[in-house]
Amino acid sequence: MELPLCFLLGVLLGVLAGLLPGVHVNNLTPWVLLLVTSLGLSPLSGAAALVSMAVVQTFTSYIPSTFLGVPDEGTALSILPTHRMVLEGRGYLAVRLTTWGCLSSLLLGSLLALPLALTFGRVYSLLRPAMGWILLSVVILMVVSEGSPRRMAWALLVFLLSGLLGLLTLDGGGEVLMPLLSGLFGMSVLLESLATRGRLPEQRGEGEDPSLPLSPLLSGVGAGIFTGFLPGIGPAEGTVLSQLATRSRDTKDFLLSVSAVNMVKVLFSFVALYAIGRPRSGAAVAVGELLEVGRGELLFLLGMALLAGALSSLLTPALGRLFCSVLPRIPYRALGAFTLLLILSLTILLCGPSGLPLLLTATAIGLIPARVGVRRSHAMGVILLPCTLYFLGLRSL
Amino acid sequence: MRELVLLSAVLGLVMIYAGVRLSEPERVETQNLTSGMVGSQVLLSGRVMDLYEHPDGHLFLQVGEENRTVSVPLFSSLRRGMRVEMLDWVEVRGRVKEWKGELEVVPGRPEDVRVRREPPRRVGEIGEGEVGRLVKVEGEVRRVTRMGENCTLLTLAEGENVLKLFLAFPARVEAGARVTAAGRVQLYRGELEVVVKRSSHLYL
Repeated sequence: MELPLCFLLGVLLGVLAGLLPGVHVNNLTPWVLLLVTSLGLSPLSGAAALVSMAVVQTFTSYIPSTFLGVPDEGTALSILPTHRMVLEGRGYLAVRLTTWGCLSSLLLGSLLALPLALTFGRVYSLLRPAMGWILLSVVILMVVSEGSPRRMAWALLVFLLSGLLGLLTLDGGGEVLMPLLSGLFGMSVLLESLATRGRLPEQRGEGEDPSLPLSPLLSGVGAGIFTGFLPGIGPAEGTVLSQLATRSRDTKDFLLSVSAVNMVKVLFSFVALYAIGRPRSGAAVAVGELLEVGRGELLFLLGMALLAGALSSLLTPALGRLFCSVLPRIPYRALGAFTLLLILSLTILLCGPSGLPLLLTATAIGLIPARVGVRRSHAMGVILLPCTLYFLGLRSL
Repeated sequence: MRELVLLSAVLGLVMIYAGVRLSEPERVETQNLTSGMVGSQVLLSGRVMDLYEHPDGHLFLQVGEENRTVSVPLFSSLRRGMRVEMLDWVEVRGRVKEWKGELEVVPGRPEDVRVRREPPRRVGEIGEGEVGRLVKVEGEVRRVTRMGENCTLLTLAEGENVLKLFLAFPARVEAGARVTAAGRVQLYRGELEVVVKRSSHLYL
């Protein structure tokens, strides 16, 4: 009974972490570890709770990012397209698309994980010395893909400004990532919407059944594997790489791709424990403390992830439908104001009053891309620039 | 979507089952434990052939048989009142590690150690055929003889049967007490005696 109960606990915590803005798997992981050790639970049961929590959180986090515009590291880039869909009354479809993307990429990623886990250790040791140059190439690709020199210049400016903000703040420790990402990707979108909209349109609870184009899914899985093994590159950079590979501007393709990158990155953060002996997420660090991951343990973790994914695929649309039925009854300005207040409160709660200047500065930078017509993903320079400089040996951690 | 959900759930359950089976520790005997197993989980069973209790509460066991034992450290954080005596049968689930060139099996949780108490033998059951063997014996102390500052000779009696216990450490035992002790049987000046090496081998 211990194993199923731990799995269900992980699912419950995953839903909480996914739905409550500011609550992340990394905040809950120490509590799960404490519970496992104080109750003397088996390491496999503890790992089951951690993996299911991480997977379920990935699925459900698209609900607040879609309807409230509150991002985390994985959902930051999805905010603008999903928000657009909410304004068109298609918020539920956005949630279903990300659920499709998460589940199908989880399935594909799990099947690829075993052969890749056996070979990636050697590939990683070859790539490791060139990591700085790989990251720099990603940055250059992101900027050049804007097309015109004017847009490239703006993209570079957004990248450098957000990167400078990251350099100045990320070393300080604490939960600074929350106000940074909320400012760059959440507040800025909300402010623009508040300035133009009075009320959310009625959300269609059912409607079109999303088809699954293969190309964004495959590129998302590929980018997810890439970012899952490599340190410093987050889901946002993975999504940009995936977009560059497919060259698609379609919203549906984008959402499938971003959810696939995010999901596979979570999955491969655990696979990396076996393949290269290094964890690539907070939950994976905790699993590594509980277990020495061999072939059997890897199979177990993948199985748990698949089972949690199957359950999330039923839970997430149901929760999304609930949001759809409740949200149109609330005046949008009130909802927007509530969300802004929520972000402000969480910032003060997590970082103290010193978090407010960070949030405001990040919001100001986050407002630039829409004004000048470049992609908001350049603002991921907040993480990417410090990481690139570190791997180029120009900055210590 | 339903098909994908179903496929994920079924595949997940199959992988969980296979993973649990594959991650079950390999059952090994002490003589089969090799340095190639360092890092892997094993299930080791055998008798406690020696034990040493550290003042901080750690218990260091030597588990196996007469001619081959493996060290099993039970750290105080893991013991939680667990009592282990000499010659008890233990089953330990733990990771194989190497410490100062010796292999050891290190359990991670109290549940990883199962102990089956070996009942002590009566004084009259120890005969000359036991010479050289490790035994656990119980009896009433009839006489206590101090042998210098650090050793004590106890005479255990049970009816007509008498057996001497040579304690190779300072001990405070009174005549009339009932003791259990483990040690190796030897013949000393034609008399049988059990040599008890450490205080952790004597149970009052």
